[in-house]
Amino acid sequence: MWGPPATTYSWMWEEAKDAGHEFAVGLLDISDSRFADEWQVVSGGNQVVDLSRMIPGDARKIKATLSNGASDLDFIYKIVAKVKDAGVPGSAQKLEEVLRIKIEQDKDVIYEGLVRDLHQGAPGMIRSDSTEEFMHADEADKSFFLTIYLPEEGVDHSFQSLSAQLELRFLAKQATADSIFAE
Amino acid sequence: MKKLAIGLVTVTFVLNIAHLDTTFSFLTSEKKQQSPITTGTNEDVFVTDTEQIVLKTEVIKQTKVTRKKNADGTTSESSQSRLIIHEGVQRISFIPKREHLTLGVENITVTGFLEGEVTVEVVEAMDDEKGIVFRIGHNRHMVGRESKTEKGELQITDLGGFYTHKIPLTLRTAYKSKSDVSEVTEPGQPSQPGTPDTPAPGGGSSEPSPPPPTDNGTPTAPPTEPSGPAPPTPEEPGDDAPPPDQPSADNPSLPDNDEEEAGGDSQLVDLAK
Repeated sequence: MWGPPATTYSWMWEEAKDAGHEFAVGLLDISDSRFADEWQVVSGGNQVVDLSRMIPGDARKIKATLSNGASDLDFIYKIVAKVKDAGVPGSAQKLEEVLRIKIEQDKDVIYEGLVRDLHQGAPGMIRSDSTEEFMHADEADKSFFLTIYLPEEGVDHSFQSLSAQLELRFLAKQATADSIFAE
Repeated sequence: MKKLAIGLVTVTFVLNIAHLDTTFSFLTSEKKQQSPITTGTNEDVFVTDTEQIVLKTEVIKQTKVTRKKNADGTTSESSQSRLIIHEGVQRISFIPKREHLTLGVENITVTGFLEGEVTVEVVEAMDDEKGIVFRIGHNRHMVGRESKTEKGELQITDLGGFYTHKIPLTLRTAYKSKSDVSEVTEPGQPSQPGTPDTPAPGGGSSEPSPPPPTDNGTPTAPPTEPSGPAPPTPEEPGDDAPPPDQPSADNPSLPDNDEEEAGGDSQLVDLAK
């Protein structure tokens, strides 16, 4: 009976206190957004489809598409990346010291820097770059290329054999003043 | 959609009943993907089969004593020593795992030895070798006059230190000393075949050293060819090298490719090893 996407959260209005108020109901659902299944090798590497055994200078790219699906609300989206431990504790933190990401949108580089600077951040903080933007409900899909790479310099011997998980996320929240991204 | 709306309204009412007075308005969604990520090891940068390097240097001090019995019964003795060094050399190859990767001499440091004692140079790969090939050699100018073994390390670094590989390096110097005595009993022989101190008969000899003074206008016999009269003068750059020339035959007992000083003497007699 209830069949909304699981990632769509319930919502509330202050106006709901007034039972006589007329509701404006909306839907926000970006779960049709997608990341490509395979990473492409930009430079270096014997591996084609994954991020394994990377060495300094290696770069892998993935296409990500932000889709507003059936949403009928304008919303604000944010691109979030994080390295998470997948075994040895501390590996993710170590890898985040050097792992970098470049995000391109329509041939413009909208972000290039450490992955850890694309953590979600505290609620209410708004990014100044285009990794956090407004999207109209009737806008076409947006495509991004995310390039993950290890820089040639600054990655010493101690960064060998690290193993972790890279998590990439699109977050969206309705475009109202006091809305926050869900955790 | 209507069901959704009704549902949301229902939730809202439930939450209101629960006395949530300060409410945010929020509606969120997300999409995520996780990918395993790992970093490589040395084997993802360069591959080498060499696990250790041993340079075996052979130093042979060869002393030649020439005793000359003169016609009047006196003997004179002259000695000449030379040092033969076969410096230890080993080649080592690195196969890069990325096309753009390269190694140079600047990527290699040698520790544990005197400065310059071990030489490192990039060389052409031979048929059975792949990748980047280095020649690691014992510097022949710094070879000691004693048998000894020294140990150190060859350290290769690249990619800002991500690739750091150490290979144990051993220098073994083997020092030997040999003496050869040769006796000469000829009373008095002309020493230098090239010097015209003997009044040469000059008839049928291959090279008449005095230039012919006659000019008949026949250019068929040029008196001095540029390549002609050179060969019978062996250079002797030795320390104490009086050129005791004999009808010389190269002693075949020396298996040396690169000897420091070349001399030609016959009749060697091994005295000491």
